[in-house]
Order: sequence, then structure tokens, then C-alpha cells
Amino acid sequence: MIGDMRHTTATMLLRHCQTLAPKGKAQWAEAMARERDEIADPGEALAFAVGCLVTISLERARTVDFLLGEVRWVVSAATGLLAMFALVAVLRMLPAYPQAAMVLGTIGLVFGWCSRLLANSKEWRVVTIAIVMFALSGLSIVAMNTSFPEPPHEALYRALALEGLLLWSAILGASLAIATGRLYKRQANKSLGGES
Amino acid sequence: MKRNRPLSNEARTLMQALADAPSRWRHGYDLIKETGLKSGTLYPILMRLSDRGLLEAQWLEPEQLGKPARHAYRLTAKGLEFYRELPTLNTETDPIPYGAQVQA
Repeated sequence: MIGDMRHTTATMLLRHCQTLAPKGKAQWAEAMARERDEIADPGEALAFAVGCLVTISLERARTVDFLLGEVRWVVSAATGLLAMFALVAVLRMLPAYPQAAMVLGTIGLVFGWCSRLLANSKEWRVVTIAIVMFALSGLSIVAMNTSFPEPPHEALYRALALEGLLLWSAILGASLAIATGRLYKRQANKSLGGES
Repeated sequence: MKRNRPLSNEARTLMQALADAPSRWRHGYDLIKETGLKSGTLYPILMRLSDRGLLEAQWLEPEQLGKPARHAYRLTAKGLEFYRELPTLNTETDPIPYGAQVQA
């Protein structure tokens, strides 16, 4: 029963590989699916299918063009704005809370760098940006955990840090969703011979 | 931009398996069993070798009737030459490739 399930799952995953494979790698996905028929052991078949899915997903990710102009400009503008907000906050906080101001300053600089990178770079690497954003979430958590001497301000800055974290997580998530959705559609159109 | 990274131990293991019988066509699953590589490691290497013209692939009809054709691989002359020009692996200092048996 469980063996059957693993075989079925492996078959399902390999079928998904065939759908997911970019045009140039379609025959590889087909080859993987045919190899699965040769594997008798269900556990081995499932492990094989998972490896194939990872391979094809990475191939797909390599072929997706994340340089959609409008998304790039929106994210660039949004990160630029966040950089400006962070720097204004630094100026206001510096005399009273130098430590927290330094954290915010770092966040602001990284946002500024991201914004510039997105606006200028022809080879926008979305993974790089995602890593930078992820690293920044760490900074926000640091900011949230920074102890402020006056209780009312502590609550305020924690709320601001949380708000910032949620805000740019939403921007990043929405941009990625738009980018992948639009590009998959565009690529599907191309595959069908339609206009991109 | 294309990058020319040094060959990994896994790629070396695979090329070694293919170079052992250069004229023989090999299937993916057979290579997995022979080299001990996982499918998630084997196929990306096969794809890269193929992209670089070091590996050729073709659909081979099975000897058993009723079964579908399978993809088979072997090194091209360029691939074989490339493999022979690789510096030899020092088993005492280099990491042991996946699935390779160390002879006592």
C-alpha cells in the first residue's frame, strides 16, 4: 500500500517535471520519467523523482527572465523609499538612541544599495535580492529586540520595526508573485507559438 | 555569462564511469547505480556535459518488446579527450567521490 503510494508519488512528480521543464530541457524530463519505469524499489523511485524535480526546478529557475521592467522599477522605487525613511529615522533617533540608529542606518544603506542595483543592473539576480532581504529581516529582528530605556518609545520602535518587516516582505512577495506569474504566462505563450 | 568552474568530484566520478567503456551507451539509472550519485546530482552534470559538447545522448530502443525507448549517454571524442587531460585524482588527499570504493 505504502509502496504503491510512493510509486504513484514518484510518477506524479516526474509528470510534473515534464510540465515544468523549460523547452530546451524537455527531453531530459522525458528521459527521467522513462528511467523511473526501471526502478523497482518504491523508496528508490521516490528519491529518484525528488532529485529529478529539484534538477528540473533549478533549470526552470535559470531560464526565467526576472528582468520584467515594471516589476524591477516598482521594487527599486519601493526599496529607495524605504531607504529614505530609514535615513530620516536615523537622523531623528541618533541623539537619543545611537545603537538603534546604527541598525536602522545599516538597513537604510542596504535598501539604498538594493534600489540602485535594481535600477541599474542588467543582470538582476532575484536570489541575491532575496538573500539581502532575508538578511535584513534579521536586522529588523535585532531592532525589535533592542532594549530602549523609555518604555513608551520601546513599544513604538518595536511596532515600527515590525511594520517595516511586514511592509517590505509584502513588497518582495508581491513582486516575485507578479514576476513569476507573468513570466510563466509569457513563456507558456511562447511555447504555444503565441506572442510573448 | 558562462562560467568555467573546475570539475567537481562528482562530475569526475561520472566521467570516469563513462570513460571506462567509452563506446557503450549508458542509461541514467545504470549510472546512478554504478557511481552512487543521486539523481539530483547526476542529471545536472549530464546536462552540463551535454551543453559543453562533452556528452552525446540518444534515445535507444530497448531489447525487450513493449518497453519505451530510454535516453542513453556516452562521452563524445571531445569529452574523452577532456577527461584524459584532467589531472589525476589523488585519493589520499582529495575527497573520495560519491559511491566510490576504496581499494585496500
